[in-house]
Amino acid sequence: MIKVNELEKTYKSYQRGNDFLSTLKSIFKRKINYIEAVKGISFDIDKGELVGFIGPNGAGKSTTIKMLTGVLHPTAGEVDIIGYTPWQDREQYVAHIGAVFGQKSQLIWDIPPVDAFYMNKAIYDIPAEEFEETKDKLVKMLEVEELIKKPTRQLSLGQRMKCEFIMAMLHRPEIVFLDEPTIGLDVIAKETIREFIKEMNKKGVTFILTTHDLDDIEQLARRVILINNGDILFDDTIEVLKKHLGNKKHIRLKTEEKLGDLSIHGVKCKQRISQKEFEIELDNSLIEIKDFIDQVNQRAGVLDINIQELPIERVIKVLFGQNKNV
Amino acid sequence: MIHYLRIFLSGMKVALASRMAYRGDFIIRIVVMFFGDLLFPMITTLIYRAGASFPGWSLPEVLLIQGIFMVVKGISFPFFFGMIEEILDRVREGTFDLMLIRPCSVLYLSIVSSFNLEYVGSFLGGIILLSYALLHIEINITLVTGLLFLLLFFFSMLILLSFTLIMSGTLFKWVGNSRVYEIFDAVTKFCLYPRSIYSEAFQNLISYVFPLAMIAYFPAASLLERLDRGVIYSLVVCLLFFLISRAFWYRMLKQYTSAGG
Repeated sequence: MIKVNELEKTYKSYQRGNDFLSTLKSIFKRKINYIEAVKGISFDIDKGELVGFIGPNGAGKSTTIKMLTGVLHPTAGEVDIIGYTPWQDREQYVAHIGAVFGQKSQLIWDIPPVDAFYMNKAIYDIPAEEFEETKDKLVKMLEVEELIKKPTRQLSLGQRMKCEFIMAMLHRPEIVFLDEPTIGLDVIAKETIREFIKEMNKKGVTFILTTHDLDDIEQLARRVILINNGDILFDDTIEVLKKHLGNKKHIRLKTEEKLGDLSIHGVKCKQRISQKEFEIELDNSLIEIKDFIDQVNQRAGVLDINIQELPIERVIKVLFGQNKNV
Repeated sequence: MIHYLRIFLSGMKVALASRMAYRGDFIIRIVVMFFGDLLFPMITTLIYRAGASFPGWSLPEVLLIQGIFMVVKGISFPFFFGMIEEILDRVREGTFDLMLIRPCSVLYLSIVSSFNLEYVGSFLGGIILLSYALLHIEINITLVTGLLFLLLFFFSMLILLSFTLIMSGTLFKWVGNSRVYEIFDAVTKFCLYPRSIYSEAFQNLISYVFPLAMIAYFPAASLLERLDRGVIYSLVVCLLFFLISRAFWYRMLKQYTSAGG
């Protein structure tokens, strides 16, 4: 469905000095800097996938999304999405996609979202019956029946984001690009948005998601593409991403008695909450979990234990650290 | 075609509803536009009252040119001039991205989404001035002069659209350059007076290179039966000027780099 081959984007920027003299000089002569935002990345995405793009600020995620949506022309490379080259066949192509930008609203500030929906109906040339059916269904799913009639400026961020999603889905797109869709939202609003994405994905909509919220990735994406400095560092499932660093577990442990020393081979104490409560990182390749439990039981008695996969933040930190680019 | 008409009507409705959210501000702006644009006709009247004049042109004839300029502005500005401000803001904030993900001509969408009814003040002022001038000039408007006037009036709006395209096009590259308005104000001042008051070289420049004379002078001259054959060349230049400015706009659009995400 999406084929990206050696995609590159280089921006030209002008270097200006910080002091008065160099600022004055820059009026007549400026030094040009070429910034390689995306350095020849390649990947394929199949229909119905939900792919998460992650990476630090300035990694090249948004630039990639902008090229895939036809907003930016690449410096080099090829993209084929459902038979279109986004920046060349823009008008025909964008009729098949939707986009939600967490920091750029498609709603119109002074008028109710429902009026903006009707504007989209005209722009996307959606037949009246189909439009009403989709609108009603989406409005019901996101529980915004009354909200869509209020001026946008009176809505909370979470309520606006729900309406942004309706705007992006009214024309029943095959692919939806989400650029930080949960930014600034509270836990409940995030959960609603995530459930909505899951629901639409089940119906066959392909989602490409960029985010800094790793919970979004863990809860939504089956596949992760990790970008840093314009290069793809990793492209596989979350499970593989976590295993990339070895079979490590994150353990929260409570003991019956005080446990003074935790010097067990393969176990690293990440946080000592009290003398009876610890957060631990356990390397499964060096020690089995049952052996670890046995040892703790003998020393202080296990009262409670919670074993989890490594948090993705930790995985990413280590991966970026390996590339020495962060 | 029907698709584009629907977008147009929907855009008008949304723009009007947005503007009506601040009715007080809207009415004040219309009044300001009305009186602001009458400043030049008032200065012209003072010049004539003081005994001076533009050689070969009576006061009502000069007011006819200025009235036509205001009417052209009052019609064309609400429909497309607002796109300069719209593009200026959207390019600076990076929200022009949202225009590019819509399945229709991005130029058309930029025009439609920037509809601004405030300039109706200019239009009303222009109609009043035009009526006053026509009542004080002895002219016989025939079907031919009427049709010729309408043709030249259309080209007048085409030139204003061309300038709008050039000015808004530069904003894709020179982000946030709000001085473009001043360039336009300075340039269009030459449209407010009879062409014959300028040197011959300048007359040729505003007729056949940058056809500013088409904005108000040529339509007024058609009603006053003062047109010369040069208007035909000027019409061709206008058409070329429009095509070049449209190509320029699209070329500059390719320079759009969005804003950081």
